[in-house]
Amino acid sequence: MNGSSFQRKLMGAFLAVGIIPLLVCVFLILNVFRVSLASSAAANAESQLSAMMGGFEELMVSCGDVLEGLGSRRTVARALEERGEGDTLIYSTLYDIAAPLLREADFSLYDGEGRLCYTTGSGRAGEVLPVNWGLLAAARGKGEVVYRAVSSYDGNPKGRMQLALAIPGGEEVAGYAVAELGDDHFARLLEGKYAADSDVLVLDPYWSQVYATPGIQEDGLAPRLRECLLEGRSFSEVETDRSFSLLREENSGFTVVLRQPQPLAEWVSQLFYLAAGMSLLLCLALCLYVSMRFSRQIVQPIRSLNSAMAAVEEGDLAVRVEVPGTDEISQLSGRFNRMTQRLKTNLDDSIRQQQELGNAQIRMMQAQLNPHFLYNTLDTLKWLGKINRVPEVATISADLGDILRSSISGDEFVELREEVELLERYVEIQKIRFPGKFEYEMRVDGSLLDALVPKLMLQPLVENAIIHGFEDGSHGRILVSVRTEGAEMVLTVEDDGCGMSRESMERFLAREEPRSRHFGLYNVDAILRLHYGPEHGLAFLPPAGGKGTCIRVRLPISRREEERE
Amino acid sequence: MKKRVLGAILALLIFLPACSQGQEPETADLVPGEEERLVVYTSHKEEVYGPIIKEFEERTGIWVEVVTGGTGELLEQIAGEREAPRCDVMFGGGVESLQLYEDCFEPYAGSGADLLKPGLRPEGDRWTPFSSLPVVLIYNTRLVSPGELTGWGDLLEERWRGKIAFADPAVSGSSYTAVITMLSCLEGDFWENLERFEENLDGNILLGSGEVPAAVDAGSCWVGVTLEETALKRQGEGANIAIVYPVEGTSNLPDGTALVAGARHGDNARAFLEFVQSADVQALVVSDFARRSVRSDVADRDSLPPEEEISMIQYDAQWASGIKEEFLARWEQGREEGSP
Repeated sequence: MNGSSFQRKLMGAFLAVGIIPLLVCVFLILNVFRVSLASSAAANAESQLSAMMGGFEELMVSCGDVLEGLGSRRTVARALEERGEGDTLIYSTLYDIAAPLLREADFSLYDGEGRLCYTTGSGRAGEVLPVNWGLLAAARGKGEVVYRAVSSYDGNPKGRMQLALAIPGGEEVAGYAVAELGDDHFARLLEGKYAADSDVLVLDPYWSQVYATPGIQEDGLAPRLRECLLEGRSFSEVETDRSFSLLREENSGFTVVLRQPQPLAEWVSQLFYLAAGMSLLLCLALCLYVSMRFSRQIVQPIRSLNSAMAAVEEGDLAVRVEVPGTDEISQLSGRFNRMTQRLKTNLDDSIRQQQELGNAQIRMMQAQLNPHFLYNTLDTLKWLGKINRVPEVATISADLGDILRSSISGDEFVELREEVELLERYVEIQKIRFPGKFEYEMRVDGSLLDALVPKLMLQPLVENAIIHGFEDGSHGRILVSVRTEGAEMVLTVEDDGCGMSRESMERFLAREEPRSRHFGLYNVDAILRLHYGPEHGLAFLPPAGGKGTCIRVRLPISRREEERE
Repeated sequence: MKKRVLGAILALLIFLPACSQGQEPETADLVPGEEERLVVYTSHKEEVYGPIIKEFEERTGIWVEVVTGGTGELLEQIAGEREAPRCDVMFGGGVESLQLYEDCFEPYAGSGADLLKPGLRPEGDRWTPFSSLPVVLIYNTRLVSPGELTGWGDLLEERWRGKIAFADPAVSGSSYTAVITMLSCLEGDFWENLERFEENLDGNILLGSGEVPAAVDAGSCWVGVTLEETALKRQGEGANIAIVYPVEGTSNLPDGTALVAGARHGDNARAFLEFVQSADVQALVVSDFARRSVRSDVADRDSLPPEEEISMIQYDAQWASGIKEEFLARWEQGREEGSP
């Protein structure tokens, strides 16, 4: 249907207008949201990291200073070499130098064989660290402060990070100054420097875990991060709901990793998508509903208009359309109603006229009833006239019969000969009626006798001359002449009677329908004009004798053969 | 016009999510280059490879990627990757196993090759021995009095019938080495002795080599056949077991480290081979892992009898690998006969 395509268009437009801006808005908002959150989280992470890194760096430097301070004391070196001097003196030196950092780290002194001799921590004298392996070996080899993570394989649960410096002795290494940072120390170092929802991981230069804040329960995080680093993958693959940022401490090569929850938590973005989805659905439903409503509102009247028009096509003019309101379509419906109303009225009128015409024809046919009866009657009159020796009656009857026959014959055009004959019959009757009132003369060009002229054209002109020209009782003559003039024939009817009154002439020239008189002239004029055109009407010429009437008719010459052709 | 607007919207939609990504920490300068990397496949336990690899990293600055797994599985993987090796070094696995995949490895003789104990340096240096692992007998100290168990011959005697803890050699590589060692040491016909031994096991065959000391300690078996390292470790944990070095002699087949042929990080791999054979690591092998060193200049634990006192037979790994198929066929056959 046309309606459905219209509906579809409307729906498409509604959807486009309703949904595209919503979609764009949702995406824009979500991304603006995400970008701003991410950047603020990044800034946040950076400030936390730099705070932690500042503390860590400072601690490394000052621990290094303490170790170097211990290493530079001759008494310490000598005590480690010989184990002879008073322990209290060494301890006082140790505590003195380590004083500012006693809470930040444990400091110990090991002799050349790796035996623990003095410590500020909880270790017992006599514990041994290997000197060919690990921390002490590295310290001896490097000659400056070395930084090591204590791996859990070493069976030393205490220290998590160790710093060591070899103390030079007489020939070989006299001993080692060692600083240890355990879990407590790291906790103190990082305390308050990271957000409550964040976690911190301290990694050694090869990314083994050194320390993790209590929030990180699992052991596998550091190895997984290391794997990602080595394989060049993104850290977000380790934990999708967390983000990682990191900084490396340059002295030790240790790395601090900050783990934060993703700025836009999974459930928040899910909620957002859900809300967006819901509003999209709502919008969709609304669009569907509204477009359906609108299209129905528009399509329904159009449809009923359409079916009403189909009914009109079928001929039912009584059909009417409901006009629900004042909008354009209602106006259209109103117009349609008025139009059919008008159409119906017109049709009714023309039917009535047709009926009237029919009636007139019936009356006319009734009027033509039984001309034979009239002929026969006239014939009877003629014979009665002859029998009773009243020749005028016989003549009049015969003439009247001929005139009657000719006037009711179907032909519209007759040859001039017949017309002349008819005219003579008429004049004969009139001569009997008005004996001695007029003289009649006819001059006809013999070559024109077979030319066609309208039937009963001359008779009314002559009648006019007889009845009106001589109505004042005078008598005169009537001349009818027919001659050729160029390609036309000219018929003239001339009398020397009283002539037409000025008033009648004017009325005639104005082609006004006559009221009672001069019917004949008017009719002839009308017939001629109708047949031959307006220039062939009756023309009034000045009469030859200065009085009377002269009527001239110009007709093109046509004959039966020509007409037939 | 319509199309342009639509295009602009689409571009916006695509561009915006893209710019919200990429909040990754700057790790590019932390990622080690190829020349600072090494990939090690190891069948050792973490307590063994952990400290060694950590120290290797610290000493050389090379980042080591460790892939762990069973010996057979890892060797299979190395063979599968022969076209484009991912692994640089196979760390661990008895030399009998390494022998089977000889083609995957490239010979390398470290600076310490000349200092290896006699008989441990492989022909052609296809691999580097890591630790020496003598096969020993153990007994439950509560059920067996000292001196009762002296050698391989005792395992064929009626009195231990069904009381011997022995792992299935079809499953355990070390168990195969042990049974071959035993049959090599015993007098008489090789295959006949196998039949007698299997008869004496009386169908009591353990599924893994780790179960042997546990079974002996628990008393479900009185005596057992295992590696010295395993027994010592168990002893250290306080098990009631004692070790006997068989009078007929035994083998000390080492486990090894091998350089994968065509390794991507060849130089680093060679540095690692050098390192595991160094005196420092060998000292750790002795002190921390209850194993015997492969170096003659690194002394074993004082508590262990020196290798010279144990009569060590020459174990021919190549020959042992060669007869494995036949052996396992006979083993299965004997097993079916043995179990009613």
